Amino acid sequence: MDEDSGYDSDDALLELDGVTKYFGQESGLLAGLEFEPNQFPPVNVNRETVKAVDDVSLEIQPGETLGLVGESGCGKSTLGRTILRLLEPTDGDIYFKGENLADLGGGELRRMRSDMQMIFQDPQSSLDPRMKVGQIIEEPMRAHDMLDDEGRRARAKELLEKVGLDPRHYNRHPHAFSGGQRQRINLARALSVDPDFVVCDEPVSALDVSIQAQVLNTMESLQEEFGLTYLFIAHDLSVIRHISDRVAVMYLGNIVELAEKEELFENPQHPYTRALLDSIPVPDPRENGVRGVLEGEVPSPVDPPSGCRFRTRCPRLIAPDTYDWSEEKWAQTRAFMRAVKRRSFEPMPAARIEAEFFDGDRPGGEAGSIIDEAIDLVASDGGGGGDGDDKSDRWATATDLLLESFAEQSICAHERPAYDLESEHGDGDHFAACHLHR
Amino acid sequence: MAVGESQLDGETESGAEDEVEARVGWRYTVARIKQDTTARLGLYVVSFTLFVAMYTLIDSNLSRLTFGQVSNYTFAQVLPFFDHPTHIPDPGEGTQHMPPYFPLAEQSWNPLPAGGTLEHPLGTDHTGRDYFTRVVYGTQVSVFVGLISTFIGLSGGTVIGAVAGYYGGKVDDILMRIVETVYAIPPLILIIVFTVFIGGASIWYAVLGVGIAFIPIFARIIRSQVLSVREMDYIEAARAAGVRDRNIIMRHVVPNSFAPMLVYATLQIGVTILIVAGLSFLGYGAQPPTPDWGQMLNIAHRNYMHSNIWLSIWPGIAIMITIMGFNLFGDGLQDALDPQIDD
Amino acid sequence: MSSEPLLRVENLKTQFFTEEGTVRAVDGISFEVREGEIVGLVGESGAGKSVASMSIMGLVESPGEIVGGEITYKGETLFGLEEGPDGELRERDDMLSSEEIRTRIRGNEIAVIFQDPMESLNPVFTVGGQLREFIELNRGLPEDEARTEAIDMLREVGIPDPEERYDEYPHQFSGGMRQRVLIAMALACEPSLIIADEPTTALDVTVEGQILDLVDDLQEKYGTSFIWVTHDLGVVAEICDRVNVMYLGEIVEKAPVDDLFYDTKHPYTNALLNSIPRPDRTVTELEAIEGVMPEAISPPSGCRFHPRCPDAREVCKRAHPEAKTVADADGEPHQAACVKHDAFDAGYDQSSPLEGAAVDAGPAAVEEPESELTANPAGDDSGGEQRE
Repeated sequence: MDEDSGYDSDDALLELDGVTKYFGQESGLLAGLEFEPNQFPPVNVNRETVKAVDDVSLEIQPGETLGLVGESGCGKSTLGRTILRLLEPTDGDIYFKGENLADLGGGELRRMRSDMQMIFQDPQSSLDPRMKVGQIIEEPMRAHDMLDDEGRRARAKELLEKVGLDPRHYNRHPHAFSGGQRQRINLARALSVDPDFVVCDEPVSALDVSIQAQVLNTMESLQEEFGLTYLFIAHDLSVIRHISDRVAVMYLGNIVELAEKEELFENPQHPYTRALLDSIPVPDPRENGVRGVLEGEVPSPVDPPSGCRFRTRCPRLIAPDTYDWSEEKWAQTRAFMRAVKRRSFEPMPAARIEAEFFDGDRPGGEAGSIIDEAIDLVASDGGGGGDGDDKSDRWATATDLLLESFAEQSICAHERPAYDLESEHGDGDHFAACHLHR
Repeated sequence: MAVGESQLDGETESGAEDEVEARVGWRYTVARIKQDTTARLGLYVVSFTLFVAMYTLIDSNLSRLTFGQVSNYTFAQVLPFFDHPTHIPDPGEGTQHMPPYFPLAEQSWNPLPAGGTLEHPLGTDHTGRDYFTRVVYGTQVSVFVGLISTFIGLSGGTVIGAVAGYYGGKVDDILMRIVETVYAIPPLILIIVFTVFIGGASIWYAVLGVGIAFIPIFARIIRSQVLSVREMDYIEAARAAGVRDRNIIMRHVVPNSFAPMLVYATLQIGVTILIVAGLSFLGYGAQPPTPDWGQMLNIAHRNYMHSNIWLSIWPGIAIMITIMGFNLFGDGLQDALDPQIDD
Repeated sequence: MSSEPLLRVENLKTQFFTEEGTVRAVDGISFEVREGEIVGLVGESGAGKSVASMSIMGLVESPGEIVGGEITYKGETLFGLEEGPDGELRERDDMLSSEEIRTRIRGNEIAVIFQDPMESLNPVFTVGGQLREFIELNRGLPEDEARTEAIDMLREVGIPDPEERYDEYPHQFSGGMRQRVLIAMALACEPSLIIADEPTTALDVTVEGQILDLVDDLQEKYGTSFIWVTHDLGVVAEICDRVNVMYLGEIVEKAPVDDLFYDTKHPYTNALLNSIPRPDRTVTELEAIEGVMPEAISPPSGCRFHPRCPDAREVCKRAHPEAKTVADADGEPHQAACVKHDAFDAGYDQSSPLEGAAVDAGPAAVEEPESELTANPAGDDSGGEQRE
């Protein structure tokens, strides 16, 4: 078997440049048509798109493992599939061994596929239940006309052994195997065409902890033996920390931070990365840190926030320059603004609101009068006490007022951040998409 | 050591692996059908029907089945299932659209009642042909009509449904709109159109018409199956491996969408037999002298409803048993193929 | 307060009678829950932890059946057997009827939170309506009061703008929000005990953190006890006071949380801790546990962990250890079911080390021992990870 990576250039094995993937909301002949009785003609073409991956650029070096981590819905799986062109990129270039995959036609792309493979999350659905293990492993070789029948059979059996299964299981059907064993079959199939690059989409998250370790160890030894390059997609930071060389953190379709593993875990520079790291339950009862540090929910990818996408939840949203206030006052205003937006408090008298959010001492000047106005809108002795729609409207007005006056004025809402920092650990680059580093 | 290795590599796997194989494939399905009494009954009836149909096709002599010779009519006249469209003598302009009607002129004697003689256990029909032979031969027509038109529907539907479901998007839109258009035409109309505008009334047109009329139903079912199979990771794995679309459809999509289709097709055979019998009854299907249950019913019912009701009952019973057999078998197949039911 | 615990489970046995044979999903476990504490029930899938928690609620469905043991809640017998006149086992007279358990215990005294909130909420009714109905039924409040109560509960569990969201449907809620609704539902009748069956497994880490915070706050406020069923040792370390580690239907170790992590007494717990990657430090080499958990239908002889145990010796094949107190943790007993401890006196020290599975595996290139292959026979549809 081919034991080296098969790619001897100093350049990156894979380079993404502004890769973007949007999904249309619906498909069909009349998709996106909406009935609008208030206009003529009374139909409206809805062109809403889900911005799953937006302008992602990164490089993967031969032989390394790049961990891609993020919460569900952040676009990490979509990115993995777009790289392999299982999904058509909406925009951007994907250079694999110097060739732009985004430009390749059907036949060329198909031939290219023997160099890049994928391992899937779900051990149940990733193997065709009607095929035998041998056929499953041989299928990619057959597709690329590798070897003859006899050779394929021999290689399939050899691979079964390499991934830690019994070659005698060649004729079994997938249902006879446990989850961990199925992931090994998955590995064998991916390796059958001797690829250089493997996208691993949550390969161990469906497995029990003790089995996870077995499969991770096998993946590591195979990487060494076959000179593989992994893009390892996972939501579990512990697994990522174990297996990756470099780590990229994704939030709402953007990469917010990318650095070497030690640097990222020990010296996180993006507030989102910090929040993620603080949230993981550590298997150590003596380490009771903070958790649940993030408020609210991930915004819809249909209409993501402008500028930095994390700004609506960021605990360190930068104060707008328009007003002159202390860090403390801005923090109070920020908390008040978000509380109003989420309606997380009950209507109460203005004085109590002021006491609760501003310690009875609200900022002065222009900012103060805006806050006054907002308090008046939601206070029970102002207009916020009423009932029904009127009350709802007033809260909405207060929310708009606060957001427009403060949040939208912040640099975080205007510019998309992208900064290269010095690493504290190791000598790699450290990318952080946060204006705190401007 | 060498011995051990050769055992590893050799074909010794099969024996030990049988148990493992058991949950996929024919042997397992048949084993499960045999566990279920109703399905087993269906299986027996269907097998018997198929046997009779095959037998009459191969052995035209039929001596053992008819308890003796068939009076007056030779087998050459009874046999040809592959009839030619009967060109109805044109009675004049404008009446062309009348259903073909086999004139009673041929009636040469009164039909013998059932159980009349050992030679004719079910009696004879109006032309003196042995009714038992004709009922038995009717199996051939019915079964092949059912199989062929279901096959037309199934293969057409599978191709269209699989392609539409797998590719989705515009391909899906266009194909499914066409399918829905065909779906909107009642099969009867479709068949009458075939008979009248393409050729004369013939069992072939009936078969073709029914087959085409069923394509949309099959296409829709397989498409919905494909839509769920398409989302499976192994499809994506095959794409990521560089397998051609054609092979993905043939090797993964269709086999994994096929189980419910098979069940539906089996049930559909019964429906088809019924529809074609109905068409023959109306005069659009099989033409005399082809022995077909529907057509036999037609003649019996028109002329001998009161004088000899048995002429109507025998083909009726044959139709009932056959359809019941396919339905029972279909139901049993459904249970047997359903991966949800685990024991 | 007397020393009587809130809930006591003794020698509970739950079995499933399948065509392949009897699955001993829970095989003689004993533990107790005191007032105001969170007790962890930890194990991999197939260990029987979910079945154990469902047994307490009397929610085991056919072909499963509780075949032995005793469950006592606040001095009342939820389940108990006695020997009848003919020597057969029958349910004890003082055992609560299923009617009583349904009306008086479930929901009111003991509530459950499931892993998948979408399955626990009916998609065709509004979230508020379901919560209101639950309160109406269990607390006998009139509709408008129940509605007010429901809105208060939603606010209590941190649902923003509860009056508006009261009329929304489950699909309009995110996973974390739905889990909050379930917690609200569980808390609505102020039960004394909540069984949480992997409540955060389906959630993202940041949301999981929020939920754990919420549970902490609510527990402080209401003093509710929890049985926290999970496979995640991280969550256990965060939230539990005492922990029961389950393996193949048995509790193999029982200890206060700190001792479990810092003074581990059972090789299985130890192996589990060594096999997980850590978020707080880089582990270069994971020590995977060899093989897979065997099926509960035919558990290994002796100690059930011995085929995978790094410390296994000859005696482990024969002696089946019951959990015994092996150490004292600040007045709390620390129990483990492993004969290597002196408390067992089974001759572990004299016994020869087991020619373990690792030797059979052959070349070192294959780290996975033969045992995984053989221990997982063809029809694993009744076992393995699908069972729970």
